Amino acid sequence: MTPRIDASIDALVAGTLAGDLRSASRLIRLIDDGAPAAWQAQKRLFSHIGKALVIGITGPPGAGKSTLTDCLIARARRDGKSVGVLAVDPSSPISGGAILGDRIRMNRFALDDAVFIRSLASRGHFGGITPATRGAIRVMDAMGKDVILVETVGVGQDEVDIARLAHTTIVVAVPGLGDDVQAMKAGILEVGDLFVVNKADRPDADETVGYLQNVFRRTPAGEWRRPVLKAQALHHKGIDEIWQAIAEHAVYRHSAAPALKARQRANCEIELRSFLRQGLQQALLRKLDAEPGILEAVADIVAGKSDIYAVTDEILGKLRFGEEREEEARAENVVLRPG
Amino acid sequence: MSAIRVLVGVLGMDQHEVGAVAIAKTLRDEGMEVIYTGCFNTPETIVRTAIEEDADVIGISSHSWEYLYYMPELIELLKHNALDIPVVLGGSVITEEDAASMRAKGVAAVFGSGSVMANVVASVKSLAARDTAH
Ligand SMILES: Nc1nc2c(ncn2[C@@H]2O[C@H](COP(=O)(O)OP(=O)(O)OP(=O)(O)O)[C@@H](O)[C@H]2O)c(=O)[nH]1
Ligand SMILES: [Mg+2]
Repeated sequence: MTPRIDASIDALVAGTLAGDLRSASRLIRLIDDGAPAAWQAQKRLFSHIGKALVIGITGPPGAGKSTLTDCLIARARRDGKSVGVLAVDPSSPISGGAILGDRIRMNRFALDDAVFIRSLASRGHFGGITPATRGAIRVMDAMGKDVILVETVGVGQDEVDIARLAHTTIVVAVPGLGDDVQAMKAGILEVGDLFVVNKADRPDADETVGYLQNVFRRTPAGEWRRPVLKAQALHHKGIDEIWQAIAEHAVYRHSAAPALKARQRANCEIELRSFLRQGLQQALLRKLDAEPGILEAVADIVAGKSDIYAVTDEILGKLRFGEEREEEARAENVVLRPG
Repeated sequence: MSAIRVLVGVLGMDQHEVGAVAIAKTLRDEGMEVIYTGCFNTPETIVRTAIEEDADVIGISSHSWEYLYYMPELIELLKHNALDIPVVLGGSVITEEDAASMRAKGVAAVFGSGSVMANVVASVKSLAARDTAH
């Protein structure tokens, strides 16, 4: 249920660029809801983005992502930086609803004007973030936030998506060489730029650090050697070291800029293709919705006057989408015709 | 895709979270996105969070008398910020008389002890719809 747009897109864009919280918040809502107006707004924000440092925070459920995010807000604030937070929690696959509770751990910043915390529901999307996350990052960037922290859904294995959006991706693990760390091998090890073994007040932290360090031992010279750090987010310990590693990663990113161009191009291609796919899909669905003959055709099919396959081809043909199918069919015929 | 967004929290020193958690789960099961802020909120943090989260409705769960002081403050603060976000109040301690006075002060809906969850859900849905265009 997209809220009434009581402000014009012009006002929302101007407000966002001026750092106005209400404009930015409403714009994120429109993006999240896929409102057509959001597209126009994003188009106009695009030339104003690219200044923020985007940090992804991912890892298994309960590892301490939100608590660590809280500590990183505090650290960034100490440097006088303004902060945006996007915290993604899972939507229920059954009801589509969600309980978004990450921000409770960041409550001490509830009244800090330089901190904007926004919760997002995954809305059926897998991969730890949502399609709207990138748009929301851009809104926060355009409104002038210096640092944007993105906490993913705690799924533990395939949150590769965040790495495409963040400059630095932090993977949060917990002590114990149990399933979590083993399962991490799957995809998450490649997406992490920096590993944090949180809850280091518990036994086995050093073992887990050693295990992860061993994984990255053979990093070739000149490549980024992923640091593995211990932390106790709950007790605000180890945060300076993480902040320092983020800064070092920024230095590496700048020095390795040419090598990272390929990654940037790949990410851009993924986004462009997904935009184009969305646009095509919407355009075709609109055509289909406007197609008048469907109910009549249904009646004919049910009455046995025509068959559903022929009707499908006919309607697709009318939507000027049938040519390829006919060609496909011809191609199949060629193959199927006995030699 | 879109969803109703409801902020649910408890005000003041009231530490009874059970009711808030129950209503949060119920609203989630009804397909809503619940921004759950737990205990120890003030009218200021609720208003600020409602803006940050673009909440359609604010739900306050109360199991102590403190709401008598905080709710009018919350309503005033929303008005002061020119925010037209309806507030729903629920809790076992709310008497008929106080419920009437809360409504008079601008609380959109009040649910005292013995209220039926289904009514709370219906109320939140209709208040959220009031704020939306299609
Ligand atoms: N012992 C200990 N507990 C911690 C530490 N950091 C966080 N916790 C606790 O771990 C629990 C989960 O923390 P969260 O920050 O909510 O974890 P999360 O990864 O955000 O969880 P989800 O978002 O649900 O996946 C909380 O009870 C925290 O207090 C730590 O350094 N030591
Ligand atoms: Mg969390």
